[in-house]
Amino acid sequence: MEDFKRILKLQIIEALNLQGMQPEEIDDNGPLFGEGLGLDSIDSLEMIVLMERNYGIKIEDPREGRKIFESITTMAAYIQANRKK
Amino acid sequence: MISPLYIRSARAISAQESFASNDLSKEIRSITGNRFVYIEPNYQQYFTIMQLRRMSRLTRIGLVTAIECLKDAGISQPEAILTGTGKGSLHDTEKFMHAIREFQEGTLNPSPFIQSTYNSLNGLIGLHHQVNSYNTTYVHSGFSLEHAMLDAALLFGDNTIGNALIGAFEEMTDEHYIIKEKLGFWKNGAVSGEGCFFFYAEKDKNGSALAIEDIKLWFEPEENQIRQGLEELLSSHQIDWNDIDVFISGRNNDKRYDHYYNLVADKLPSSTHHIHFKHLSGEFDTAAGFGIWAAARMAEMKRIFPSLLLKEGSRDNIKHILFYNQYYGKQHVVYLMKTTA
Amino acid sequence: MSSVFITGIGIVSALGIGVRAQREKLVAGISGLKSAHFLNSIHKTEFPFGEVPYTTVELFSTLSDRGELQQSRLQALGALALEECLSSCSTPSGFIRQGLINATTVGGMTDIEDRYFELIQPGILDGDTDWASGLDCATGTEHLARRFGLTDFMTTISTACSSSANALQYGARLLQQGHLDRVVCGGVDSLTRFTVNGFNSLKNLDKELCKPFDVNRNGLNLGEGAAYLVLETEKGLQLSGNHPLAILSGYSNFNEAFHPTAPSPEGVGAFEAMKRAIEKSGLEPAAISYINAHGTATLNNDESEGRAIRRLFGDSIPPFSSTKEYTGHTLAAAGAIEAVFSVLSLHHQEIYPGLNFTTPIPGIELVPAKEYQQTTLNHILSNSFGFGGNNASLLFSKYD
Repeated sequence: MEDFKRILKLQIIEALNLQGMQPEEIDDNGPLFGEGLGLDSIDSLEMIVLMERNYGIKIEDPREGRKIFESITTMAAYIQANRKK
Repeated sequence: MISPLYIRSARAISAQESFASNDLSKEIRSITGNRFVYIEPNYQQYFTIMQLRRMSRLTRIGLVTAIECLKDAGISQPEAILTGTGKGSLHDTEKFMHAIREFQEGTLNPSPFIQSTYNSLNGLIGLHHQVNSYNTTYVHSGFSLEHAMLDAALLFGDNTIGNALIGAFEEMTDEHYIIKEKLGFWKNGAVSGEGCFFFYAEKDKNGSALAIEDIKLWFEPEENQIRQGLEELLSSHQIDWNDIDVFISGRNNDKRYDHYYNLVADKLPSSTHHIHFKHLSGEFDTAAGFGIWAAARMAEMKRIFPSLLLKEGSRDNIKHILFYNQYYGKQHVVYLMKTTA
Repeated sequence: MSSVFITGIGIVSALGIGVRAQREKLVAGISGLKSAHFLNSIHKTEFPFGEVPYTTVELFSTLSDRGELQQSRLQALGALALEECLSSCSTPSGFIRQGLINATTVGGMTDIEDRYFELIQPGILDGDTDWASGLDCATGTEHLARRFGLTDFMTTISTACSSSANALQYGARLLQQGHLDRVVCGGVDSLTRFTVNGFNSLKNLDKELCKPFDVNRNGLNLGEGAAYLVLETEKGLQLSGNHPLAILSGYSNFNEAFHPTAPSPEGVGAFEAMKRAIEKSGLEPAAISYINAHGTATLNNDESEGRAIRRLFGDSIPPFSSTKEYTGHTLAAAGAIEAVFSVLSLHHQEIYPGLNFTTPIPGIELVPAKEYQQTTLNHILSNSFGFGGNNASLLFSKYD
């Protein structure tokens, strides 16, 4: 799981174009949105694209996405449980 | 007649080392191939990783140019933001078109779509400086910057605002270069260019070195219309051809259009300096911005950049500057400017 | 400041070609939204669209004279609206300075996107490529200006969904400060795969008919169309002899620095734009008889616009509705289309019913006008808000 979280962080860094950011800088349990990493609604849409392209997980409603993307830990758990590729 | 735009600061990112020094004192860079490519500044000093994440090539330089322009004027929040661009962020437009095709209209990344919107840079400047204000973007090829200028003058004229950030931004891409090639843009001597220019202007004279006193726009004019329009312009400002100290022309090495500039050059006395600028910037919809930037900087520094001289005149004291640019025979623009120092 | 009179209107939307077609549907409460036929996109039946119900060829054949217009849906729509607009009022005799202030979000993309990938291949399509110039926003405007003799002064504005509302404001300033005697302002956008996928990537297209100001709203429906209005000053009226249809009595553009696409939840920008437009006219909010809301039915817009309306008008909120349920969101054309609807409302003293509404948004509790009604209308506020925080409001007043 720790390895997967690191891969996921790298994927997020790439998808959101966080140039120069290291995976270690993203807290596993810290909030990705708002006060934490500081992501916003557009990032949430970018991560929906990431989920579909990398894991075959379709998220239709962005509000649903925000719950899944609460932290790296919640996101990783959701992917592990629902991934289609 | 317009309410004059008193230019307090001007910044340019171009194919020349025009940004850091804010002049043209560095060695002139010659062209590689048939394209002038702008020199990008180091963004790290301006933005955090989070701020940079969604900015593409053009919006980055646009925002940096605007930041430095406002900094030079000592202004944190202008009362309005007006820009002009022919094509906006082409990289984003193209990226999104490719994504639509590649993913067959499936789930797509929204960022290129958002950034392809012509007013996205305006929004970013507003966000960066927390400017809640009048904000607009003109997208009319060789008239784009001029309508931003004219609109700012109108907003000065009806006292809506007392100052404004005005700018133009343009980029060229490999794909768009091919399209313009097919449309014949580079067939007769003109070379492609790109750049970004911002001006901070005030309604009142304080501290500015250059005033844009009038702007005239003509679409596909007959030579007579230009002649007559110029005569009217000069007389409405109570000056004549002999008062013009510097003539800045948009000559782009495409001989088909030289006759327009000759119309003006032939009227001027030999003592008038004749300047051009597209040999250093290349040709693009808002290339006029490079010429206006040069005028503003030369007025501030009280000297003419030697690399711009097409024909040296004998005037020591620069007061009246006439600027004439046309874009492929369609949009013709004239600026009458006056140094205020 | 001298008054700005509206003396001509022309329009094309999903409701049909021409002012009469629009009004018939608006009075009857009939929407133009349905699956798209001509849009080249896999999404054309997935979402409702406000597509103008004719092929581009049919649109051109409706024009009295096509002139040198390019084979472009954008130009066909623009020309139809301009033809009606200019023929609905007389052109002044003698020398006058006139202009065309156009607006578009993606120019001639509709007719270019299908051939784009051939276009960028070196060596292919080297022959007649004039059509490729349509990618430029200026090209459509210039072709329209040439066709209708408006080449003296022209420009194109692109501020996303507020574009043509800003075109009207710029035109008004040019008139009021004496740069022009008469100006034609408006906007045009045709449905494109580019824009449809753009809004789909933002996940704010509703698969059902859009439900402005409803708690269960789930996004917008895209549309296409064009609308233009002739603006004249008092001096222009003396020359033209035109009888004004309405007065453009106030306008404002106010950009809020909040987010690249989303409005602030409190609707700061919307509030300021409306407030300043009313102030410019010298009126009080209480004088407003009706609001043609931006009302796209996205989660964000309707909440922030609703809050702004609440804050500005307090407990005495004038009747309001969105006409996006009829036309879809026509982007750069929306401001001008809704300006025409506002002029029609004033002229006929009638309010068009909002559609698809059942339950108000909790906490905002705004209920749009749901029935067609004839009533006294003196001043109508029309909102157009766009990406980047660009908010524009126009205020139209009855001409007696």
